[in-house]
Amino acid sequence: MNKFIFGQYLPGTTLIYRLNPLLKLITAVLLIIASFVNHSWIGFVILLVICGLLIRMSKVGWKFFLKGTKFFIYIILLTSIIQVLFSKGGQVYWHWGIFTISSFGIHIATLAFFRFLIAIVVLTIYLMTTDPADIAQTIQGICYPLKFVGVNLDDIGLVAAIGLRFVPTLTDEVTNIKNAQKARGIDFQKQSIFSRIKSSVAIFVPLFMNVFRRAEQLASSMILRGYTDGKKRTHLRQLKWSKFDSLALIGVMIGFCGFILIFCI
Amino acid sequence: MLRKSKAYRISILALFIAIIMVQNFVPLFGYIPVGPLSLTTIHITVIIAAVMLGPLDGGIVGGVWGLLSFIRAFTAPTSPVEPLIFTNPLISILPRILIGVVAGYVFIALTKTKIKPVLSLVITAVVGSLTNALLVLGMIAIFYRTPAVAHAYGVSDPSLITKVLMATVGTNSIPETILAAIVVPLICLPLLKHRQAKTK
Repeated sequence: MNKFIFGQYLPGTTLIYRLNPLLKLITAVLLIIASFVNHSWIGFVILLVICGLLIRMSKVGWKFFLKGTKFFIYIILLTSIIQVLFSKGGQVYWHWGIFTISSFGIHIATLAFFRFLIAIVVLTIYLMTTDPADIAQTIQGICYPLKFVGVNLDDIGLVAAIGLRFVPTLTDEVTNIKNAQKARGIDFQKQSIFSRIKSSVAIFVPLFMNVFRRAEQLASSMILRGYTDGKKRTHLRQLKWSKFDSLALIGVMIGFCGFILIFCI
Repeated sequence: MLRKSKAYRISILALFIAIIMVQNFVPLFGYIPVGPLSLTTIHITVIIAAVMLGPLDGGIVGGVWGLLSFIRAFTAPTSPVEPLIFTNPLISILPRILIGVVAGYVFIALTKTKIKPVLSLVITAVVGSLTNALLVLGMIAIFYRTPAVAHAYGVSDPSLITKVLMATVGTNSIPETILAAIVVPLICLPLLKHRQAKTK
């Protein structure tokens, strides 16, 4: 199995899983907005505590969570180190050639680090605790305004559902193709740009051939199961908006507005 | 018959979107980091979608790429410059939609002329890649003459950023364009022939 777990759905039954996916998406977006407009340290502490509580509530386990986001945390850390070294302004602590460590740079970089950290944590929790089929229906719900320009919403939902369903399959397929081509003697480790271009041709051609074959199989099995034009589709799993969801939404909204009022104005 | 059905159109569109998602979130497959920017292979998928499915679906596939790189710039950046630049939807989403649309129409226009299919595919690939490169870099030049971006590229003076962007055209866009010009005909030519044989 692939070690890469960013955005991989983990089935579970805790409270977070039972919430309406649209509510979860709204909450996630609001949390990210809050972290991007926030400028104070107490605000970040509060947001980090909220993130910690969410990880705790989802019961995915800290170790597993860290393993999944480690790669991105390194990148974010690297980004902020670069910002520290190249920003100028405020009190200068250290100076060598083009590198400068200043109070302004440290401030900017820490802000950026916490912002991206919160964003990645929130998005990972959302993707880990939401079934891809529910995400597809949520996308369909978000695209509702497009209905008035004559787009069939059920088509969007279906495309999103099939697309999300095939992400793990295609990931495995890419790994398989890569291994098969390695066995034939293609080197993916070479550093020069042109040898990398050559080796990616060896992945792309079989991948697309397989994709077109798969699409034909998928289409024929859809037609055989009675798919005609996708109008008036019914769903096996109906998404329900419960009273608890409304209460939670009100709570989230109040929390968000309060946060913005206290820390951002 | 199958290739004309709506079921086929939906499944091929969904699979293209799935490829885009895989390329966006599997490290070192969709993006190859080279220096401060990263070399991408995703535009190939968009151009192939535009050639095989038409400008509209090409635009949709491109839009999904744009949306994903917009979201990723906030959450999972692959290079230090990304969070500074791609958080602007005009840079991350619009050029990517236009790759699909432009490549699709260019290919339709070229099939009506007497140019050989291989050559028209190469031209489509080059035009598609350049649409992306010029729009993204042009937008960066317009919006971000700020010190922060200049620092991330390793330049201390914001006015130098135009020169750095020209260098980026050389190091990133030209390999990307060459890659597209090689891969797109290799994949599309047999598929187009196959399609013609079936519809006849």
